[in-house]
Amino acid sequence: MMQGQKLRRADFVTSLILLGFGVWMLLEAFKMPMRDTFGGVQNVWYVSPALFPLIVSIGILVLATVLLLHAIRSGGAAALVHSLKHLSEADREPLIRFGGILLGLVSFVYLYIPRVDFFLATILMLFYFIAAYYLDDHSILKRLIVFYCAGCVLFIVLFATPLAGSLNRLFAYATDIVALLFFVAMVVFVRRATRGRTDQRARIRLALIVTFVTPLILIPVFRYFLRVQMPREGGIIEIMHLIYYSIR
Amino acid sequence: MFVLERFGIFFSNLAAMVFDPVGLLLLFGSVFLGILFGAMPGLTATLGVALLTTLTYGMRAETAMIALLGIYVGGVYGGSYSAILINIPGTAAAAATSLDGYPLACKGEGGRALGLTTTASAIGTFVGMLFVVSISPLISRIALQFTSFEFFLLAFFGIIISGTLTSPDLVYKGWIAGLLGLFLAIVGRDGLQFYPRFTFGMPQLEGGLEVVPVLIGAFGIPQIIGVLKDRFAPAEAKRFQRILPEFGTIVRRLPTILRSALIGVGIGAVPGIGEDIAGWVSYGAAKNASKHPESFGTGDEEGVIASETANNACIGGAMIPLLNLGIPGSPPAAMLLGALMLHGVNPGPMLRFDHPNFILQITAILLLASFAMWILGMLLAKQVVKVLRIPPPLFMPIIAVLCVIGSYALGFKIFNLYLMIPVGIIAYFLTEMGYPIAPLVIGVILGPMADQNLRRALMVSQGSFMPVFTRPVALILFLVIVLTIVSQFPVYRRALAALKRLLLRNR
Repeated sequence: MMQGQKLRRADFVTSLILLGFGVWMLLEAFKMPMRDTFGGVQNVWYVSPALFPLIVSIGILVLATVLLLHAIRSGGAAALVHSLKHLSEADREPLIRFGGILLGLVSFVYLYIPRVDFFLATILMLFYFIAAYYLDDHSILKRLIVFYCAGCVLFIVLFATPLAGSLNRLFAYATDIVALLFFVAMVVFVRRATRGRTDQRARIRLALIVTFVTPLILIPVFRYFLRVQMPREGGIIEIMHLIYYSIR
Repeated sequence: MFVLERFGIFFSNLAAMVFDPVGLLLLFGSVFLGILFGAMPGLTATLGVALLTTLTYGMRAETAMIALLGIYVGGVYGGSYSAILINIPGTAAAAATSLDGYPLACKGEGGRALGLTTTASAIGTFVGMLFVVSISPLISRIALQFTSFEFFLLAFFGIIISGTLTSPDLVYKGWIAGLLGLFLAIVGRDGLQFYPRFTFGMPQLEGGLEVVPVLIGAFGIPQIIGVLKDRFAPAEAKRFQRILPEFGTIVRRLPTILRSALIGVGIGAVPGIGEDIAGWVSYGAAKNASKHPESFGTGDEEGVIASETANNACIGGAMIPLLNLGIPGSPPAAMLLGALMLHGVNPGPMLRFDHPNFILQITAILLLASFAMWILGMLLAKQVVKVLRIPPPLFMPIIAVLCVIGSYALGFKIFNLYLMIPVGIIAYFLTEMGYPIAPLVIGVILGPMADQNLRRALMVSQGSFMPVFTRPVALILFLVIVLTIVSQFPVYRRALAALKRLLLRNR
């Protein structure tokens, strides 16, 4: 948790966001039927669907105002102005680490899961996270974030244009192959980045083991034991089906 | 006759579970999993319950509860391992345990400390279970007299009290978190007129937000971000020989154990505040009652016993409002409530009519879970300690995969994942800025209850709020809510101090 002036600065910003949110909620609540008819039912104020949102929005507005006053009194506004003036002096490492985590989670959920075989999406995310944070080397982390980001941009272009459709028409699992190539490229990139460092070699080996073992256990458990269809079943999960149904 | 009949049903449930090898295996497995979850810094009992919920979708409600209560009990106890051996509490509930547990381990008495915490935790869970079985009928009978006004005020009380007691910074941050939870509960078509509220025209939001992905997002994602963002170096665990179940010490410390268990049950029964607060309050009470308070913090076994008894007794306490009123007593209980609703069990006063033996089954599970925890604690402590060597950056991405697959498995909706990530990121920022997550989660769960009961109550009273003042329980709840809110303002404290001075002068 944040401490001292940093916390009060955050309180100042949050209270403003909450005030805006409260006003928006209040305006939206006023658009709901208060006394008019909805679905053949004549409304009175106390049965209106707007009643509870009104109470909640007023509560948020009151508390956000109290928070704002407290933040201003305890120097939150001044701390914000000061930090904006000295933005260049701020420690960037925690910010980069945080950005790297967001990149991994957001790309996994919004980019890869809906479009790429779930096994491949999982190994991409696992290897990225483990290599970036388990190797515990800030320069590798930074370079890997850039590399992974470039890969994500490539996939966005692929899926935003008719390119993915055309490729998949040529070969059913073309996008999965692209994802697999990206994974191989990432492994090669990490190995090259740690070349000559014997201490990191064992860690990369462990990262690869965890990357492959995790989906190899989880996917069959959910798919065949709990009967959960994976979000996207591409080439790799099709191979799993073949193996499962041939030995069953 | 009624009591004998209840005991008869309780023991027949117990016997059925003991002679069911699959159920026993599930119980021992989930308790062990819970101990591992609790022991690993960064993973919590709540997250354990949340993730295991996703594996219980296909089970019967009773079987699912064996697994979920097992991981809950094991998770709360497991936190003591890392607290004692590496001075990092595996869960917030074990934070007070590390104050005396780690100094004991430094003196070479780590095994003894673990033995004491294992036995104290088992006794705590057992006492909590006794309260569930004895108080539940009384509370559910009282709750049957409740009308919509009482249910609205009860839901509101749960959010306010949880916000007040769990806020690490300013009290009203807890209330803001509760209101944000209520906002999330409003999203979707309202329960009375089916009017779409804050759905933005998205059909996926019409049915409201799914509770499980929201809970997994709120508890899991901040944990993942926090552990990966802050560098965490695994500490070397203190060595210990064998765990000694010191019955002599336990008998000597019986008054402390009983006091701590009562504190744990009492705090657990208050909506929304969990095992961590129970541990701290009990530790403080033990220190105040001790003849040698100066020895606390230097390796006093009484401190370890007090904290661990209370945090496990809190489980039983948290089950009392959960089962009888439908209000979770702690964050893991909030997750249990979500799981119960998924399995078609609606906790509340009607539970004893809809599922007459359910509460007794829960108490039987709690009793067996405390035994399983004690046995596993005694036998597998050395193996559990090995997990403390696993670096968090290695297992946190796996937890992320489990969060994703678990949220998706509920209804096979990718939209649940789209929901989980923003909720998790917002919950992370809120945690960083001193907003507690428990009131937010309780707001999400109790929101529909508060909304519908308020409007239903006003419908019956034709828009009048007078029943709040004419119905005794409603009036008490209303006064407690007002007092809780007003007592946080400096004006109230100044007025109270002035009143005290005036009374002293008159005397």
